[in-house]
Amino acid sequence: MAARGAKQIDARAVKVLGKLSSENLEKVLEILKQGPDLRRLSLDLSFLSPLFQLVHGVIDGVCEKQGPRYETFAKTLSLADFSRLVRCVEAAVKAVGREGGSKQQIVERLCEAGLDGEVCSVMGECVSVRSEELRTQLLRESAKVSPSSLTDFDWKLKLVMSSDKLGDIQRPVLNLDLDLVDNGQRRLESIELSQPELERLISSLESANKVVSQLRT
Amino acid sequence: MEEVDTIIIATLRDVGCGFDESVVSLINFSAAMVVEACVRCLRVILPDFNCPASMPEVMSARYRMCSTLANACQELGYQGEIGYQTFLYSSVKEWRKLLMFLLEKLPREAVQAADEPTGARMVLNRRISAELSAAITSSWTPPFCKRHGLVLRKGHWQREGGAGCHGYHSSDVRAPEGTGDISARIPKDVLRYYSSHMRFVPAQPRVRRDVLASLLERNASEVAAQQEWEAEWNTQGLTSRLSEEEYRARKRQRLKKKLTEQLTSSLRQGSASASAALGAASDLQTILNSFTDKLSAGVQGTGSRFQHAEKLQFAKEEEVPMQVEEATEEELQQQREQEVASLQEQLSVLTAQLEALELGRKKFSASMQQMMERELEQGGQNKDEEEAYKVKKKTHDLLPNADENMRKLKELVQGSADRLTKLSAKWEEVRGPLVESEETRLLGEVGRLRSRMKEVADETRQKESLYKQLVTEYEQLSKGQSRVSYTRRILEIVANIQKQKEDIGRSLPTLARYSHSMLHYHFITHVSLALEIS
Repeated sequence: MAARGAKQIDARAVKVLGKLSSENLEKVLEILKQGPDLRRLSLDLSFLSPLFQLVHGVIDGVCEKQGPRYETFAKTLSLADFSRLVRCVEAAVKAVGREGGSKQQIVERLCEAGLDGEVCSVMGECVSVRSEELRTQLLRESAKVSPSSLTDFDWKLKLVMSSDKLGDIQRPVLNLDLDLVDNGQRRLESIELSQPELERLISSLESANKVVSQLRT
Repeated sequence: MEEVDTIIIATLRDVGCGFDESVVSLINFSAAMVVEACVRCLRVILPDFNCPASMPEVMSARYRMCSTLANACQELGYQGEIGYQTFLYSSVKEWRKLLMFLLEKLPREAVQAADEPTGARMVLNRRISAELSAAITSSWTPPFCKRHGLVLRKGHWQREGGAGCHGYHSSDVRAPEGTGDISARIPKDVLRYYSSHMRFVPAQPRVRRDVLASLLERNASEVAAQQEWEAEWNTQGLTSRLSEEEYRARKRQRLKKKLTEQLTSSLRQGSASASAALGAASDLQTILNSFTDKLSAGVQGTGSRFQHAEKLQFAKEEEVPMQVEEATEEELQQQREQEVASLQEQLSVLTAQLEALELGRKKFSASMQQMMERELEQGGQNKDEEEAYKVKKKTHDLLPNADENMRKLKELVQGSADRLTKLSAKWEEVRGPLVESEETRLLGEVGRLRSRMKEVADETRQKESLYKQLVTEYEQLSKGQSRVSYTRRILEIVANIQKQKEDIGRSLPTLARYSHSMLHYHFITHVSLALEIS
């Protein structure tokens, strides 16, 4: 009985949240304020547990991890509702996480926006627990000053034994893969470097690092 | 056949057979030796061949052993007839054929591996070629038999083909922190997150295959951060005499200040649109956005982060005087310390220079001493060489009319030779008479000596004859007289002698010129006379 009730409440909450397609927190919160059903949410813990799961999952997604899985919520939500809900919570989490502060401050801020007390406390707890992680991720994103930025790199050392012209070459070649994010799109740049070229690249990177570290001190 | 035998025996020794030095030919081989050679070769050819190298005593065991050997040889592909009798009762010819076959079957590496050059490059090349040859000889495996391109070959898993390859993507992975320390209490909400909502690390990345990359990346970034912090703390943090937290806080403050200064100054210089943006925006993100927009507009979107950083650095240098004005007491203190440190450094550098110069001076004075000695030496040499030069110069001067000079020289030599002969002739002239006179003088002397010798000899002969005469006379004398008469006579004679002595003493001065012999003669005559008288 309790489980059924929780499911119903879930569904209602999601309906309200799902209407909110905007990514702006203030707007979200405005609409949340107007949502009468959310205010009447009972304090059922069985509702809170999936909410925790959802918020943590969203934060995971923000932090470039595996986000919330639809299978977990498939019994209670349609796919469209789920994706809308995730988008809303994501916007809220980002907005709150950007400001930082203690758990109390976060909860107050959410409550000011008009969210239900329990939802506020759950979201506040989640955000405050993971504030450091969130903050790092947000800083990383805002530190991408230029349009394309490097996310990963991989290298492979090859030894060229011979070619169609030369029988014995014995020259090492470095295969460098640069994983770039270019305006939100992943792009792979693969370069082949000979030994002097690699040395040049490393020395220019070192000088760049020196400039950056001077800037930091 | 002898040469073949020596090669066979040498190779067998390499394989490990303990033959005597005396064994030089297969003719010396016994059945036991053939069996040992076969067993050792087969052990090298077939790694799993296991058989004792010595022949057993019992006949049946021998038979069994030789049969297994024969079988092994046949399996290797020996063409000729072979059986236990080949080993036990066969001829040298058969043995030679068998051993040559076995030696050909020996793996080449086993014989040659010892004397190949070693080095990293060679080792790499050899491994590559071994790998390639293994790949060539191994059979093809269809892709569906290889999971992720992995295949088991010769007991090693190895990757074949590109089926299992994927890009290197990392994502941020987290694990519970602070759980190792039991005494520190973890807040309740954090604990709830760790226990019920945090995913396990392998489930955290979006794609399962990124787990390894993410872990590696996480580890690398933590190591790098730790190293950077340690380097900074050791160089700057410790000298500031602050605790770690204080240092961090101050650094954060400083950076914030720098950043805001940077941003405000660049905005002040910036366009109206940027300042409008500043007015509208209230948080850092918007300011940064406007900042980057402006910059990318300025450099046509080609600017990288590195270039921005460089720009920021140069802008900072321009701003230095402004910062000095705003410097706090602490910063002044720090500046003073830095100044003192730099001055001390200068001082140490200068003292080091002074020491170096002093050392150089000592070296120079020592070398001066040496130089003076050398100068003296060179002066002596110079004199010698000058003399030599003079001589040579003279010779050289004479050289132009060499014939004339030669003639002159010859004349000179001739003249001195003539003079020499003249002198020797003169010497002869002087010497001749001198030698003659000396000769005559010496001859005269010799003659005189000879005549004197004759005289003395004559005298001796006369005296000898006299002595004989006297002896005979004495013997003829009668011996019958009485003793008294003789005594009386003797007394008389003595008296006579006394008298005569007186006479002699009187007549001595006149007789001094007479020779001794004459005296003696007189004396004797006197005596004889006296005797006659008596």
